[in-house]
Amino acid sequence: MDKKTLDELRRLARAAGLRGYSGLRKKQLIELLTKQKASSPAASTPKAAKPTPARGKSALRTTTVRQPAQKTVPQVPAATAASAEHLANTEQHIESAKFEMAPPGSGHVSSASIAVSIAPDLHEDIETLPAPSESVLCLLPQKPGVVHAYWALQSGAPIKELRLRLCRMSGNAIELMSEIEIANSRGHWYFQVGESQQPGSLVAQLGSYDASGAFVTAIRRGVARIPSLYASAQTDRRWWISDDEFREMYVRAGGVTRGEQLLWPGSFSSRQR
Amino acid sequence: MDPKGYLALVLHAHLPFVRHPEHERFLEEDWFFEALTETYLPLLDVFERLAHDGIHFRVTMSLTPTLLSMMTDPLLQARYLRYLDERIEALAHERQRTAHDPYFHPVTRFYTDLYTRLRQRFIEHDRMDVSQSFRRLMEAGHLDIITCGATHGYFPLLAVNEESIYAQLSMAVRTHERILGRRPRGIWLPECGYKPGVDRILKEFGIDYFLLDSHGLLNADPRPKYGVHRPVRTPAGPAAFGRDYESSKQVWSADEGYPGDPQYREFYRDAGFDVEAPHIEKLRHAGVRTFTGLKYHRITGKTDWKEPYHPGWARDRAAEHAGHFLFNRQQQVNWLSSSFDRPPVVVAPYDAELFGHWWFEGPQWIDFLLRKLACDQQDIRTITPSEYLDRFGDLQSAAPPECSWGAGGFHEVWLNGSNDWIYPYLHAAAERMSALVQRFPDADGSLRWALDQSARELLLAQSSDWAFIMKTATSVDYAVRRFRTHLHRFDRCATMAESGHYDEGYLREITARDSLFPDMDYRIFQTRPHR
Repeated sequence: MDKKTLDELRRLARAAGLRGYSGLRKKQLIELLTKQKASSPAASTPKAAKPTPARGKSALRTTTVRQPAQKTVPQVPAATAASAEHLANTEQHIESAKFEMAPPGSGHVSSASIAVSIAPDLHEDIETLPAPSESVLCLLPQKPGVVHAYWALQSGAPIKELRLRLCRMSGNAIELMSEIEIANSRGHWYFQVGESQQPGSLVAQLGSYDASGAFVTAIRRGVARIPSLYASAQTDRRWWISDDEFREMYVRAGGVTRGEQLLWPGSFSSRQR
Repeated sequence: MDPKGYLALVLHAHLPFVRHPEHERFLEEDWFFEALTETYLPLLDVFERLAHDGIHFRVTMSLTPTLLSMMTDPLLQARYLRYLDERIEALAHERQRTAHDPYFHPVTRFYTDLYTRLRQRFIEHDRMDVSQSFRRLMEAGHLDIITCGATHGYFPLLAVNEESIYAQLSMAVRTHERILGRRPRGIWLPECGYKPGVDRILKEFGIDYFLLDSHGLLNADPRPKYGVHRPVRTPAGPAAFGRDYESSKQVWSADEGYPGDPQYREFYRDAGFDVEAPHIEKLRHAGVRTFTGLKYHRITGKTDWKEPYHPGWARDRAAEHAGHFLFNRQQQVNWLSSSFDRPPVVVAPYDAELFGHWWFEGPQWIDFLLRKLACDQQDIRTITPSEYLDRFGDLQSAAPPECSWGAGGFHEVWLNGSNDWIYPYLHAAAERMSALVQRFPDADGSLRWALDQSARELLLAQSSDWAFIMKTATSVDYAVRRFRTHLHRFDRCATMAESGHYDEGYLREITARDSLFPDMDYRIFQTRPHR
């Protein structure tokens, strides 16, 4: 890490979800990153319950997780990488400019408070939105490595001892990846699943453990797939391109630089031989 | 002689549906009026002059259904005229105020000419309906106009209910055909948000192609032989074109891109905040300062101090930048064509509002670029994706991954701590709408009215703009208010349909306000195209 530039270290900190690092010197940043790596992976800011470890006899078979193939990441000049993140934010900033009506720092005004009405007030209570008519559980991929789950239980449904589980299905096996305790009848959670993995199909289960320790599913929701960060390892025979040509074309087309902009740790994989 | 390669310039023009007849004037309606003044009308000027001068050019534009709806709305047309008149009046006073100022007086004259010309063309040439001017350019063969989601709903996060995707596409295709006279061949997916399976639904609507960010093609499976420089055929059949990173960077980038040049107009300095005078105060909304569009300064540099704007210097710079861009595209196409066995296409998509609204000289840059392309070289020619497919349609098949062109490349912009709360409501509403369609396959009278309005309100709630604004924090209060209002109205209309008890007074009021898609048919919310 000593060999990395300050900009590169800041990018790593950002990718690791750390905060408050912008004022740190290089040495302090390295310490922070080392500490973060040593501790267990943190979940994103919790909105609902804290995670508890899976317990009881599990009817699931665990499968070993294959390590990803060795990735070759073509070198990107430090200057390009540093401006990469800037570009991503610039595009979004420009896109949002069509909604800007004042310079930054001048505060935003709600039109609702200043517009003069010339029609009858419809007395719409927009603060109260309809409650769910049935219990729901939903999985939405947010980005590689992160999947969002939300649940809404019908009022009156018991929530004691309820757990939300995220599982991976590969073939016939279901592997438990993460589990949290539910404390509210409505809520959501961001599961971190690790972007280097290719997790296959993800399934969410809401339920509880019975007396014998088996998990009884109340609501199940599948299947979500986490989108991949990486280029395909497959080549079409009719539209054949060699590894080297593809790598060169990928870099030239901005694949790696664009991946850097999007804060991907690596966006190119070489085919296993 | 055939060119070595092609440039597909794609401009995505979109604004959410903002129309408030219940108020005399409304701050957020200015989004549309500003975009008309600085982007849509200037682009029309550029394209019409090129056509008049006999210059060959091809540009693709997406005009979203909500934008088309606003362009054709009589209330908004009248309010736009009022917007222009108010500025022309203010400028008369501005010219007086700056009569002895050799630096700012020419800028006020510049704006006076500009607004006066715009007003004249809007009334006499466009006849208040700008959509038809775009249509004429399309019919003359210069522009290809493609569609977008009906209310710019973000497909990957709505796809939990496939009916929503069908509804967004159904209303889009209908609206496009109703206002522009023909079905669209291509689509700009909202935010280029793609999920495998969307290709199948697009095919059902007769859509031949769509666009993706670069990683949508580069990470397709199997590996695309030509990277982003030729489209691929998705599993269901429609072609996917990929954004060229190089040409994007040259325009979008704050460090390396053109719009940050010191000669160009400064976006954040506006008479609304700089000038204290009664005639400027008149332009405020209920006494609150906002941008007026009268911006008198140039960027000057990375300083707080800004020099007066000089239109002539800015224009010269736009010409230089157009030449620079063309030169780089020539280099690029020469290199690509030397290793390709088929002609490459450089796809350069941008938000239309980047040109003119954010980058004031943008339309001039496009003008210079298209003229230089046509007259100064033969390596590259402009093309539309449709034409490219017609001429070079032997494409590699590949499956693009789930992706978007938003920051991060996936869905984070529309699904994060600031806006994730909206999805349970959107999904539940879509399920409820779908159940209503199944329960009432053939409604009429008040039932039909309530069901149609439910569908309208749900589509409006699905606009990805609300989630985007919540994330980027420009007008969060307004976005939240809009989302909640449309959900509330959906709930009340759906309840009327379910119960058989109708509040016709309320229905009449909200139909008059949320008035887009006059040919609405609630049955678009089902998992097949509804004709």
